[in-house]
Amino acid sequence: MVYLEDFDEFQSAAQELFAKNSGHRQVRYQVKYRHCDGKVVLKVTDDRVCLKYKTDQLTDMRRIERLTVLFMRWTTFKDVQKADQLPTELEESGEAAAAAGGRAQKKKKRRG
Amino acid sequence: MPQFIDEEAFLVELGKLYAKTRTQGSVWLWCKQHFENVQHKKRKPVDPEALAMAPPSCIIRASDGSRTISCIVPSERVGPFSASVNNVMRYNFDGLKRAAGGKGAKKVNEKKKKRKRGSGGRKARERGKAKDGKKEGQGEDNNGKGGGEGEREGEGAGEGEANQ
Repeated sequence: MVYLEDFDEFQSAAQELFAKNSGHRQVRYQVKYRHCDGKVVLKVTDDRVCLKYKTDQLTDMRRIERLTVLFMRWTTFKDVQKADQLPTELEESGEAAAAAGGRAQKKKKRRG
Repeated sequence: MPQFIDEEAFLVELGKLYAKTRTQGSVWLWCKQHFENVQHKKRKPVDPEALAMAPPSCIIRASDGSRTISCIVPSERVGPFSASVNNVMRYNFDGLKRAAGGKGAKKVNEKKKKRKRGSGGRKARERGKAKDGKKEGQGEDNNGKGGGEGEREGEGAGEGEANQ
């Protein structure tokens, strides 16, 4: 079990692991949340290599959402040979707008 | 074999899992790639022909340790579904810590400062009157001081001329 300190490093390592195992071994992405402790643990593994990232900061929530959307998009790709073939940015319409829309709605609610 | 439920039911049940584990316990949410009619077994190679034929989709599972829910999302529905999952997570992940010196803290401090200054109200008006009264008194003194300063300036100029 390896805990990575930097989120960007965790994301790039997860991307490489997914691309490396595309087609022959399944890579799964797990989000564990404990409300009583206020902690989130992310895990990406292919049952051989395990990458983990843990946080208790609300500021990391945006990154977690982004990675969740990206990983679910990666699962729709087939015959990936390099990590560069996988997208690392959200599309302008759809995913990014939905991620931003939720935050905008929250801000409106707080003002009201 | 787990029973797969539809996307809306999955989101509702996921919210219930998070609500159930607020005081104790954890919620695990995991997703992986799924190919129809292709079985992945540990340490055994996958049939490449079956893999090439099957369209990829996303299988997503959630569990609180005792109950597990599963859903298969086709590739064309992954975008909107992932946004919905994000909304559920954002709503329920409210136990995380906010940054100490962040924007929220700054806004709160500014509001406190504004309240202390006091805009309007009886006490603010009385304070304002007291300040005005002091200013008038200081004005007379200032005139005297100003005259003194004027005299000093003249003296300074005189000294300057003398030095030359």
